[in-house]
Amino acid sequence: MQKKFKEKYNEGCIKIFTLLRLLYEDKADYEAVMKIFTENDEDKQHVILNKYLNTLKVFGVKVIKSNNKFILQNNPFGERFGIDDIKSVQILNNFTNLLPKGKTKNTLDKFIKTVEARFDDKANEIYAAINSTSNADFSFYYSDTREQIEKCEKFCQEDYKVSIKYLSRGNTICAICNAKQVIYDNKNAYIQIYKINEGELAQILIPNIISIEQIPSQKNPIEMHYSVTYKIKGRLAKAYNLKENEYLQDTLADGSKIIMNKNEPPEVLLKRLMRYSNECTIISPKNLKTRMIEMINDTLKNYE
Amino acid sequence: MSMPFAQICSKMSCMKEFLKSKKVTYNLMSFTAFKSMILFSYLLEQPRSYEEIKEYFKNHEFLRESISIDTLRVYINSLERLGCEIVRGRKAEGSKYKLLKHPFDIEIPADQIKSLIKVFKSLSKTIEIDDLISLTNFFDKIAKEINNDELRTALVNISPLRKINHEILDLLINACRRNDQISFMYNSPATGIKEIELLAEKLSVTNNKLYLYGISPQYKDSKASFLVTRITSKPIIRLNKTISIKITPLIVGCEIKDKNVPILENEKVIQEDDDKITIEITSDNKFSTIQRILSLGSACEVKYPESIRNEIYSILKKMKEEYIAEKI
Repeated sequence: MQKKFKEKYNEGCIKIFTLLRLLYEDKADYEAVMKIFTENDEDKQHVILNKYLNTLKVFGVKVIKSNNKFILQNNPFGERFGIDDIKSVQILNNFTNLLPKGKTKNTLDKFIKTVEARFDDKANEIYAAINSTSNADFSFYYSDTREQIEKCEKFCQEDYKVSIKYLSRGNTICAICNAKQVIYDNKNAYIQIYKINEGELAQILIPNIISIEQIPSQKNPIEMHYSVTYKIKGRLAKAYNLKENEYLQDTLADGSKIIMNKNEPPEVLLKRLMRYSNECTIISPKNLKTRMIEMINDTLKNYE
Repeated sequence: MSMPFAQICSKMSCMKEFLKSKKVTYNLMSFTAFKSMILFSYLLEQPRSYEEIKEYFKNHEFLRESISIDTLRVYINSLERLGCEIVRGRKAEGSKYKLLKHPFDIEIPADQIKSLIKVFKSLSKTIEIDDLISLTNFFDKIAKEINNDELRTALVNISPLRKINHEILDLLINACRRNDQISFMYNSPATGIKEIELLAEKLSVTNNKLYLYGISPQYKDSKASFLVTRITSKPIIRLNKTISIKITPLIVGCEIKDKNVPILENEKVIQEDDDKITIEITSDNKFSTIQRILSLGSACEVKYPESIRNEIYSILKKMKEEYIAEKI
């Protein structure tokens, strides 16, 4: 239900804060700003606008006009940003600038703009100084695969299935799938897909993709959820930190732990659990346990 | 979120300066709009009673006028129309107007938080420890603005520096910078609490955990690594460095039957055939090397040295036995 407002209000207050809100949201296009003053005579609108811009100026708010848009230069309502905050925004900004186009880049750009709009004069000064002396180098990030990553990001956002052909252990694998998300490692990017026929998640290193095309069929709305239970013991059980998709199911008398893992792509999970050597065993499901045993036996053959 | 008094004062001096320049006069600005901004800023600082607001307006350098309770209500109504949430406190507490929410609060939508978490994982492995501390503090600060409990917790917990004693961390950072010899108490997952002597070298994030690396007489074969969350005492700096162990890097030759495996920084392709590659892993840490080899599964076969080949074989046999024992 819409909130009922009391009848009497102050027009000057409404106008100045509406203008400020547009400036904060970086939406103060000339036309949008002039709409605030439509109640006034057309020939007086400019005068009224100037009156309000002067009010902001007197209050200490800096506004510039560029390309038919008003832009806020400082934050009138003091969110205080310290050096740590400004440095962090700069790190995120440098990193985001190098990300390929896509959802991650877009959302981070918006976040950075929101925070930058709240910098006061001092914060802006520090921000400019840090930017000019920054030695953080992220230029190696994803530079070789930018186009492929952008294509994958696009497919993840759209509602259609994709047909993908990729290399895995020297074999070419073909699959029809839902493209889910692009995952960024410290130097590599992966696409996470849901293979429709197999009912399984997979994570593919983007340079290993031979081809990826959209097909004229809507993404499967239902995906099977997958959970794996495994046991860890000894030193691993004492030091293990649960991942974000995991929870502790039980702690046994000998200190062993039973972990429930949800929706980690099986290939990725198997490789991770292999690292834990004999301190980790899969309990269920049976098919993944069998795959793990096969993986151990196949590896053993290299040494027998 | 409130604006400190000093900041308001600086705004006032800005106004004074502006008026002094005579570029604008009161009829060239909206005085009611200005008053509403003053009121909003004043309420941002802390809850205020009508009497406090009246006094503030009366003594204000540029306003110098009182405000009636009716006019104040009109301003409050107007701010509410703009999306502010203002409540009036109990009479016993001075009937103060309290600004609960306003449209200039930072609102961070769920998709932005998820993206921050996503890139943080990648960034934390690359950036310097000082920058990691800054990012952690920044995330703690913005987390306060997040209403969704789950996302707020996820953002705060993403940093490998969570649960780390900052006093210990600062001392370790300095020790690594100076390459100091230090001693500290360590709660080892394998052997419990013990004293460690270490020539501190670097702090680095692996698998989203912060490790301290260095040379220790207790671990002569390779560089020692310690999970910082398990260091239980402040490091003591030794005046004289007594550790003079030279660690010879471990070099492991592996044949990889998958040419598409991503090669890590400490790995070098030394031979490339049609269907396989041979790589050499150079490492100061045997434990992480063995983990890397195991994670490659049957695609990887250790060729040299024989000791590592035997160790991998022995681990694999134990892994197989675990599953056989389970069946029995």
